[in-house]
Amino acid sequence: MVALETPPRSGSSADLALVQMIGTRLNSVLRGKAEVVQNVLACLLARGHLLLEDRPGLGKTTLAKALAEALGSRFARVQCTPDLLPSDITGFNIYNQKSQEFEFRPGPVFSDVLLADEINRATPRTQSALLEAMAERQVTVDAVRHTLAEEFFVIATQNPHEQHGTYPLPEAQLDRFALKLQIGYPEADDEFDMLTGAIADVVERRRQEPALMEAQQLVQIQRRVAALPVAESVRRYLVDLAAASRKHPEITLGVSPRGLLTWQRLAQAWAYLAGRAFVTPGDVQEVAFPTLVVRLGIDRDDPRLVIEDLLRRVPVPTGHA
Amino acid sequence: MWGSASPALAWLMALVAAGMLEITAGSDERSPWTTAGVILTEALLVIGLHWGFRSTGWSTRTARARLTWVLALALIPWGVELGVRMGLNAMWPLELILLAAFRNAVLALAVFAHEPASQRLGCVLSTFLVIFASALAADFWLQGLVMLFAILGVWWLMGSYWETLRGRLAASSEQGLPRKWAVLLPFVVLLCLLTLPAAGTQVRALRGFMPSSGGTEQFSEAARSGVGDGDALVAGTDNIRSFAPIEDAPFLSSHEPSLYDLFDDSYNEPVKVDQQERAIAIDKEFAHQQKEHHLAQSQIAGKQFSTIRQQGETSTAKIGNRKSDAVLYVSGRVPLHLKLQVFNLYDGIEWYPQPLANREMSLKMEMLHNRPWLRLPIAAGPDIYAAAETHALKIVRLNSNHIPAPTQLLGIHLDKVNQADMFEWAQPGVVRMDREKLPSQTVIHVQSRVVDPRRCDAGILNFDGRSVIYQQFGADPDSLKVRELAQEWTRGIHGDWPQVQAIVERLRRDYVLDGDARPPKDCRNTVADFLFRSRRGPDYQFASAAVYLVRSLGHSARLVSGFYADDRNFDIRSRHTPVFAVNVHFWAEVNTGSEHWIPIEPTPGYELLPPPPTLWRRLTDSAAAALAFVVRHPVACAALVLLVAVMGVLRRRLIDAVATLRWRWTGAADPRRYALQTAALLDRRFQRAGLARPVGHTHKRWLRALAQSAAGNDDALLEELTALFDWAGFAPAAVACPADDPISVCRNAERTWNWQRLTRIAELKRQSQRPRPKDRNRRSISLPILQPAQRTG
Repeated sequence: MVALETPPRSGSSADLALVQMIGTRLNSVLRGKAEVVQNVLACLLARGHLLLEDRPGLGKTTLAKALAEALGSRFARVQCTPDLLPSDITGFNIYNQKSQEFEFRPGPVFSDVLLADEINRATPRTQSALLEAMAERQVTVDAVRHTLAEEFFVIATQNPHEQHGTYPLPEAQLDRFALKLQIGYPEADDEFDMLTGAIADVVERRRQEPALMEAQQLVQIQRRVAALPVAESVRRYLVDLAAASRKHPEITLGVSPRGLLTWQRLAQAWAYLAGRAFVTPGDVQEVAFPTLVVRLGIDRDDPRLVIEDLLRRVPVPTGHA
Repeated sequence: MWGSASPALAWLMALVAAGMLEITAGSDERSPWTTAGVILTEALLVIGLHWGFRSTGWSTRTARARLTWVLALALIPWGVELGVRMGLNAMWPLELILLAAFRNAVLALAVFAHEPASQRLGCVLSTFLVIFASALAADFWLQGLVMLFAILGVWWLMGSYWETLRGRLAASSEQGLPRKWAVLLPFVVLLCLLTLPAAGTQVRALRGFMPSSGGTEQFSEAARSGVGDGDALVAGTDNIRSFAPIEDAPFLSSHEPSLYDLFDDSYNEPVKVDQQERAIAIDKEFAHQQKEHHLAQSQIAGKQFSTIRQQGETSTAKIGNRKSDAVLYVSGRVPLHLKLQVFNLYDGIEWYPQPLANREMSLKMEMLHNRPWLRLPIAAGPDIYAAAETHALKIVRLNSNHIPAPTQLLGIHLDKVNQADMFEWAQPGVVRMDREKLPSQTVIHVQSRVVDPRRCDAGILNFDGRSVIYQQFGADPDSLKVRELAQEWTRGIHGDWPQVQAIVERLRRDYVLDGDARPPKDCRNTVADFLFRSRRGPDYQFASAAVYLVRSLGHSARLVSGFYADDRNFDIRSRHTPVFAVNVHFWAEVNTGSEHWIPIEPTPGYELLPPPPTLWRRLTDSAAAALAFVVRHPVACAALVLLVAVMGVLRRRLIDAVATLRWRWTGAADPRRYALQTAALLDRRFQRAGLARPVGHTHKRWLRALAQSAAGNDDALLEELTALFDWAGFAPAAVACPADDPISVCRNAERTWNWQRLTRIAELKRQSQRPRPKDRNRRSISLPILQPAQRTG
């Protein structure tokens, strides 16, 4: 993976340093998962939303809370259940008897960082309401449009091993997530350090840690990431990859144009995190798996092999050919 | 058959084009019914294949599959031609092979005429086929078919235009390989052909759009027609190509008696010829050449030949006074013995020409391919001959009416000379024209056959002929000594032909050709003097000795004089062999019975014409010649083989060294360009070392994999280098170079990833790929593109 400690050569060094500090803080709460943290940061900078697919107790909520704290943002958590209604997420109008008017009670989507836990347990109707908010960054309640925060960031989780009583997200909804990550169990040494740290009640201490970045700063960094130049050959490479995904014999659903745009944006974010002022094919490949695994229809148990094969088939531009 | 009219029209156009080719190819060779049958078969094949492919679903295959199918069919004629040449020793004209390839492509595309790209390409190729097929023949049907094709073409263009407007073709056309190929391939082929002159090769095919087998300045046995300098070309005076390329052009007006009687008063008064000879009438249309020719006189043939000659240089004054010394030109295989006169009686000094016997068979004229051929009667004899072949003799200034011809003469052809009484026997086996001399600038086609030595060696050849006039032998002591010598040379050899061969071989081996050697004036038997005293002499002494030795064994033999078309004089460019005055030659013939004579060549340095070699024979001869060269130059060949072997083994390293030198010499002024050149250099080096970067791997990923496999500790360089490569390849111009000294980084990388290191890595790779079940800890450099990022719980 690309090391964060690489000194930035272009762009705002201060902003990059702030992002790196966020990464350091996330690494301190999610031990031994530097690459997951790097992907989370890339997803954040690319203005995407994150789907964490893993078992309970691996630090998903901790990660989301730590990120919200580091950003100084409002954090909200929704525990998705079958009886969760769309209005429980978006908010609703309630009649105020005192003022004799309907007033809007905003839902958890009006936070900056939203953790939608076990999203596949919510009904499709509720899922759809959340996913619409993710894509449009706005909700409409009773014909009134309510704009969400510009830095609105969703971390949704789902348990891949308990499918009973769940509503799996359809491909069209999955495409709205930028990345899908698996945290996985930590290494033994990291677990040992974790236990050691828990003795001092680090949870209470972490709550008192100050925010590292303001919301406006994050938006500026996101805009800077979006403006990172992508060479023509790299754009052509992305297009070739997308075309190859649509012709691959083991892929039933290829990359959509929206997915391709997300892929490019994530590659830009990855280049920014590497301190580079331009995107390389290596950046495209680095973010390929988490980007594609969430949106490709793959007829195979191990999607990694298919995506590897996809990347192996398409020639990488070298600049000299 | 199809949903719209365009595919059907395209199919019809293809069929018309293919039909025109069949008519062209079948003109004069096939009956109209046979040609119609072929066309019908092709149409049924196209229909059958179309339905077959559609029913099996093959029709929906990719454009690449269709293109492969078309190319495979287009290549079939070349394979068939190769087989025909190897198996039957026959050949097709080049233009017909090419057009047959186009026909196959057109018909193959017609099978997929429902597919727009195939349909359009097929129509273009059909047009090409029609243009060239109609230009190759003048058949009546072709004119009508051209008009039909034009109507169909216009109709198809209209239909395609309207379909394009409706977007039907555009929506269903593929943007794949065939369209690119259809545009690029002709340009690539044209470019390749245009580069040939730069390599010193004259591109004859570019004179027109299509190569032809005639008029190409090349002799081709398969030529169908055409003007140029093939068999039909008349010999020139100074240059073989200085005359008009048709046979009858030079005989229009001359001070010399012409073979053709010119009736033309459209110009001035006819040139009065010195003497009038027999002539035939020709058409007025040939009266377009006014060139005059002043021909020299030469001696006529038909007198005795003395084997005692004057000392001194041979005079050429009698032959001619032109700048060109050539007496005639031979087009065809050489060396060739051209017989002019035969001698049968020998008195020890003089050879006397054989008189014409009264029993000579009459000469008959017959038409062969619309050409008059004088057919010579050939009695039945042993099957020892190779296939008949034709030579063209282009007479320049031979003042004899004897037609020079090979021994086993089968026929004679002069253009438009269709009367047998224009020819007559001069001597047994020698034909002359009923004129005082052969018309100069004439092309005489002679058909003959040669003896195949392999058939003679089979033991079927025994001499039955016991004609007294060819067995005349003296009873003087010299003659008896000659007989004893012949018996000594043939002792233990059984069979007539092996004995003759033994004598010829002995003469060629033990005696020296010396044109200046002369027997003493008081010599009574020049053969004995040559055999026992001087052991050297001119060719007539060899021939005389051979005849006399063969006769001493009781066989029939005779002396022959004429010309020897020397293969060393063969002009590769014009494909002609000039025959000069110095090429007069003597040799011998032995009789095998009836009128079958076999030439023998006892003079060293002269060779008989071998039978036409087959393709296999030519290959084996070439191999034998190469082997002989190797045997003659063992050291040089061994050194060459060693050098080639070393270069072969080290070829990749040598190429890499050259590429590295070139990389070093190129300027390093632009860091970005230099970095890209370094990346390209390393890529090619990896490839040559067997470590080619997979197409899906970035430089960084592949270099890291190689570094890990080599246990190298150059992470810093690797990071710096790949950052430099990325910057050079993908960074905008405004982004500064990531390295402080990019030139040194590149050079350092070139030194780090040197050839030795890469060969070590390649060896490790090979070792890791060998199946070793017990070794579970072997290192492999196969690096997955995606690192295992997380482990799922």
